[in-house]
Amino acid sequence: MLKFITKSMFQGLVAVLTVVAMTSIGTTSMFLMYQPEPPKKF
Amino acid sequence: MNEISVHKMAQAVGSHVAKRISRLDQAEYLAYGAEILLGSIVKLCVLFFIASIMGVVLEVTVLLAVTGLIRTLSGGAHCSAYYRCLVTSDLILTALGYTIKTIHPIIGLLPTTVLLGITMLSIYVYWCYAPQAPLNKPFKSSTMRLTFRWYTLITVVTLSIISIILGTDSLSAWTMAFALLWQAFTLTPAGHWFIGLWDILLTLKKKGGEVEC
Repeated sequence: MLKFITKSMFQGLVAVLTVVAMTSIGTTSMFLMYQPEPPKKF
Repeated sequence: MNEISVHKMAQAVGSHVAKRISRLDQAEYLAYGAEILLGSIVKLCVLFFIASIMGVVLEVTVLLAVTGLIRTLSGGAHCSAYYRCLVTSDLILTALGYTIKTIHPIIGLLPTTVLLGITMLSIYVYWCYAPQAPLNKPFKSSTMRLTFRWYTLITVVTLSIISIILGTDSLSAWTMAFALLWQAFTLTPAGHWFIGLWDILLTLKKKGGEVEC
């Protein structure tokens, strides 16, 4: 059960991080006045 | 001090999460997402902490919402490291919010034509300079550039109309107008120079011309 919860939690985190990364790559800029270096392959 | 940074924390998060889901090839991508997310959380916490001390939470919220939305479409001047961005944008947004709140009793008496003038000036600047992609993320095609240009102009015109409808006695209307003007300024050569100046002023320790973020 604990393994299932942990796995789901990490998959949720992956989904969030992927959406954030995709959003940033797909737009000119986030509201931040700093642009981290995007991943080499995108 | 340089041992702890948002960049390094994000890389650690990205690698750990990628390892846990057995997708090591995704580590860089996840670290990029984590860097933006962590950076935004830290920035928002600092910004609203300062705003609440200064009593300008509403003004800063409106400024952040308007500049954030437009900036996503139009781009603008960038700092070269995270902590410089943190200091510069928190300082500017809170100072702008505080100034608007302080001068509102005076500017609230001005005619609508002044508000209209500010929004028209903003629209003109966006027309001339938007959009601007950061150097590390250029537009992939002229179609993409054109799309962002029109999205920017439509959003700016919509927000300008909302601001004028709210009227000069509304604090939010002036905050929106000044947010549009500030974001427009960051697109101009003078805006790039201004942000560049803050970048230089906040460079604490140079290491081959650049500080690690």
